[in-house]
Amino acid sequence: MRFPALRAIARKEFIQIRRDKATTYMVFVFPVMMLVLYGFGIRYDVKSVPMTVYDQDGTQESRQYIERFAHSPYFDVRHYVSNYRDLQRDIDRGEARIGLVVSVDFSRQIASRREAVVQVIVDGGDNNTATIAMNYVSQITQGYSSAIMVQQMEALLRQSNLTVPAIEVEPRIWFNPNLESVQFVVPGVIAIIMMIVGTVLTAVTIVKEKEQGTIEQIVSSPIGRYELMIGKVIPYAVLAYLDFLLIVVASYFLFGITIKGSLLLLLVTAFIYLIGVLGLGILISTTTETQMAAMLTAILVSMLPSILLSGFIFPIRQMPRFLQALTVVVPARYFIEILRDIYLKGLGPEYFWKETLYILLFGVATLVLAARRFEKKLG
Amino acid sequence: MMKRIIQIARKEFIQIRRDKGLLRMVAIAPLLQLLIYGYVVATDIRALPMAVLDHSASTESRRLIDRFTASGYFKLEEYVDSLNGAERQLNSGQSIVVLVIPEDYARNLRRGVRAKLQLLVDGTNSNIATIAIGYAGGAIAVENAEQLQQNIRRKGLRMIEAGIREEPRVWFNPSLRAINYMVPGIICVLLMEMTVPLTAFSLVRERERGTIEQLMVTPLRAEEVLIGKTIPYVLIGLGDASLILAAGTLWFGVPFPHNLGALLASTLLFIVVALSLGILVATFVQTQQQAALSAQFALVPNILLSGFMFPIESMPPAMQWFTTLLPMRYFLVIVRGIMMKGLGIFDLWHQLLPLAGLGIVIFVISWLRFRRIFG
Repeated sequence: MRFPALRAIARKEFIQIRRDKATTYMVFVFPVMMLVLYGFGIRYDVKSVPMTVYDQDGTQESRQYIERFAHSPYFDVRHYVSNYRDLQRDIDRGEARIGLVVSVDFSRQIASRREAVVQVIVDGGDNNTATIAMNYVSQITQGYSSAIMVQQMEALLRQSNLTVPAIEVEPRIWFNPNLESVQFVVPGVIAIIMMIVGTVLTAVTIVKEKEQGTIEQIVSSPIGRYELMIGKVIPYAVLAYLDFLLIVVASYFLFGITIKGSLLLLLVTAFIYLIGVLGLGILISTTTETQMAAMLTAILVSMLPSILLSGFIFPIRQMPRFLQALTVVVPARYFIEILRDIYLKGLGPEYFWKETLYILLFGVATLVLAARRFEKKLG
Repeated sequence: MMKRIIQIARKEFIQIRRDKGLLRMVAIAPLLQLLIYGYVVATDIRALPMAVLDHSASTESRRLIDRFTASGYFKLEEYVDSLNGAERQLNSGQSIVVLVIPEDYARNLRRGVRAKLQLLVDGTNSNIATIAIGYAGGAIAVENAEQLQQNIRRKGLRMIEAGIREEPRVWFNPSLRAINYMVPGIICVLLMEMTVPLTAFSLVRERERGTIEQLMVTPLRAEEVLIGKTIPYVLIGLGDASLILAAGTLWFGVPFPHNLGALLASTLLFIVVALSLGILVATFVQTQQQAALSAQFALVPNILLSGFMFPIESMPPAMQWFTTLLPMRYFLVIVRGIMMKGLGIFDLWHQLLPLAGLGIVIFVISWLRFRRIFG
């Protein structure tokens, strides 16, 4: 490899980027927008599930029971209706995901110490939310049930010296004690933005030379393929790395997210991740002939896996086996793990040297593969 | 006019056909996404890895551990013998929950003194942590009820069985199958993914290569160019959507929508909105590289914030307001309404109206800009 040639290619690319003001703006404005949107917006805990109540009983007891839902952060009691038709309309329109029907003999049954019945109508459309919401309904109902029971048995229990409940659990939450989802989302956003900027821009830039035919000019010059590839990639490496720094700083000022571990390790591992990201971008560029195809490929093999198969939101362990196997070739998966180790857990390299090595391997493998394909095509 | 539009569309089709890399992706995209979304998103959270630090080592403590694992919500990963071991488990991520049972657990239970447990939870993933705490609370509530009954029986008292029974009724998706919910969503995402970036690209490409001047000097009018160039992408979008619908109903057993007419009509409306968005992007960028970047950053909010993955009502109010600007938000409710609830066009007017309104605004802006730049 000869450095003057490398430098010349990198300089040409830099000049092209500098002339293209819009790209430069986008590269720095979009990531901050994304950080704000996802930092504030992604709330995948199920809260304020809209609910419609049909209270057939209308007694003090039934109101007490319903009040427990109204006070719960998990439910948002929006409508009270007085017939099934209105309940159905609310669920059809999606204005309620849960319909609670308190039967007409609710208080009578409780007073006579028999089982009272409530009907829970669930919009099963979103199965995930439905399951979680049903669990919350059960929790509230059980809580109310046992309150009644304890109330009715109070004298007995006091007489016989029984503690209720017998067991108490005290949860201690580590690493993210306030359970803020933003703490969890931001490391993922870093990995995804670097992926989009690094992979998409590199893939498109090399294909552009092919599409416009300027690649023949470069190939017929004494510049080698490695020099061409690396030279073209360097400016985007710089941009992606600046983006990374920008998000680290912005997430501190916008969300107060601090790094518990070593800043130096963060900087080094991000650099290694960059190699993997750019390698993937170059590889995509060797498999496509037009910028349009390059971009669509980049969406499918870099952006979507980085969001869905990386553990960004959906834990890898909960996936079916064949998809878990697929995540092995998603570099964002390893980087997000490293980021969380450094950001949230404050761990040292003994916990993530393996992941770092995988990313490095992935980067080298994609670069070598890309160089060989490139040679075959143009040689 | 028809003839000229067809000419433009034909030219665009030829360009697409020559681009093998693009065709490959257009074919792979729907199936790959059906697979990934269908299996990744909305899977139940079960078998959370758990470690146990059992200082009590008694019949009682073992019974409690069984309660945790028997529920299926926790999977016993390892017994550790010290807090250091527990810390290692959480640090390495091997377990996300450690149940710490103190030495006096069994003794306290037998004496009728309240026994205390500790649950160490990895809070990194706040969602999983909340769910894990909920599951643990459930397991302990069951154990508590059992204890109470035993104690009452031992003292020779009678239990009072009053309580409330729930009768859950799940509508629309009684088996709570994730795939039934995901297929309508994937149709929406795919239409968005195929139409917005591709239209933007096909327009910007002419500009970048300078071929737009050639088109301008021909007798073609701006609207003919626009319609002709977008037709192929409408067809690609419709084709991919049908592919998902077919694969979803035939392979994954998703119920076939009865109201196909409503589905088609609303899909066409959405495609027009998405195309306008693509045209709008094209009028703001100069090069395909810029278009690529904008398209990707425009796609991600639609995937993450439209209600496709996370319920909108859980978001903070400001963000809920923001989602009203995403066309996909309305279309999702429409497609899910048609496919899962069997609703018709008239039941869905409160979603169709804002979608159409948003579409008109986007279309007018993009048309005005398009005419100025390409006309």
